[in-house]
Amino acid sequence: MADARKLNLMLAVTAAVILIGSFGALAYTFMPQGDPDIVSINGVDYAWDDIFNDRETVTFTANDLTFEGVSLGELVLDSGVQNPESHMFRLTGIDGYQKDVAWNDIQGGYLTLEKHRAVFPSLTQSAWVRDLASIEVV
Amino acid sequence: MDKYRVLAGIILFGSLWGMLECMLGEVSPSWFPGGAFLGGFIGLGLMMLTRRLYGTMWMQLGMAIVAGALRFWAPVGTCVICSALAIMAEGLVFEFIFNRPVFNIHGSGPLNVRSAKTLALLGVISGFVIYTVGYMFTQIMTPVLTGGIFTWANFTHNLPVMVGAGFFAAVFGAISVPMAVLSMRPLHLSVKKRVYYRAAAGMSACCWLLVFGFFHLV
Repeated sequence: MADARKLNLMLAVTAAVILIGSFGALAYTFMPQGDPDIVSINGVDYAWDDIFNDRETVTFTANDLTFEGVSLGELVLDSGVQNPESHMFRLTGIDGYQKDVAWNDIQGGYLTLEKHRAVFPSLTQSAWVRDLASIEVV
Repeated sequence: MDKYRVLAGIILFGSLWGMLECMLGEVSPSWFPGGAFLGGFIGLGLMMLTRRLYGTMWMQLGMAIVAGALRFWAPVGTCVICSALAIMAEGLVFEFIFNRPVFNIHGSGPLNVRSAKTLALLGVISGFVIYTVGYMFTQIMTPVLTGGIFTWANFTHNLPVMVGAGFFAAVFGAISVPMAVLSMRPLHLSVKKRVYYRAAAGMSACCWLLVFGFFHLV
């Protein structure tokens, strides 16, 4: 009986820590870490609407799904990155999700208006970043 | 329990789990935490159900491998390998938690876990741990297996996203674990072996055919 009470107490404390901690983390991810209408590439701000109004949109497939998007490689070059092949690129979403991607993948990647997402046909979805806030050169 | 009955159970419940992962993943709306529901409610619920029914350790890892293998053939969510790996990792974590004698839910352990309150608390913990560890596992293993880049800087930066997503799995686990354990009694099979094996084989085949038919033929 005492063992059961001790077990319940231990489980209750652990469950409370998990619920409070995970809810806190969830709330943190809902706090936008950037302007949702703008993506910053190498320190240059681009409005999402301008990206899709000013540039050619192409249809492409990734993981057997069809998307429409703008070439990410061209945008990165437009932002003034020098020697892109010698750098890695750190993509960060508005929820803080972050991925490092090589230039080869950036060259074949796209930005989609739907979900403001960076899509890489050469990589799995875990490397795709939705609600993209910034691309930094690292 | 007869090892062949357990094997048939692994294939049956693993196929059912994999089929639900594929089908529910397809219809889940974007606002709904579908991954947490599939891990914390469907996956954990089925693993608890079978642990209660069969009382066999490591059976649930086998189910997860079958479910992951079936999930691998359904192109839902654009990251098939992530989902398949996550399911297998969830099965492994389940075994690490519920193979401890203190959490014996089959009825022969030193401390029977029976009260709904205890089971709900256990559901919060196991739902969170199973889903979050599965998520972390895929963050590490998917780039390694698919030629992407894994960095600890990315991993640690993404911890709030992974832990935050675990909140929903914890809530779903608090519902699924008491439901699965309290609604079932340990299995004392009275059905004839031939009927049991035929039913298990037929239902497993249905799950696989449904997935292949839906995603590759329709």
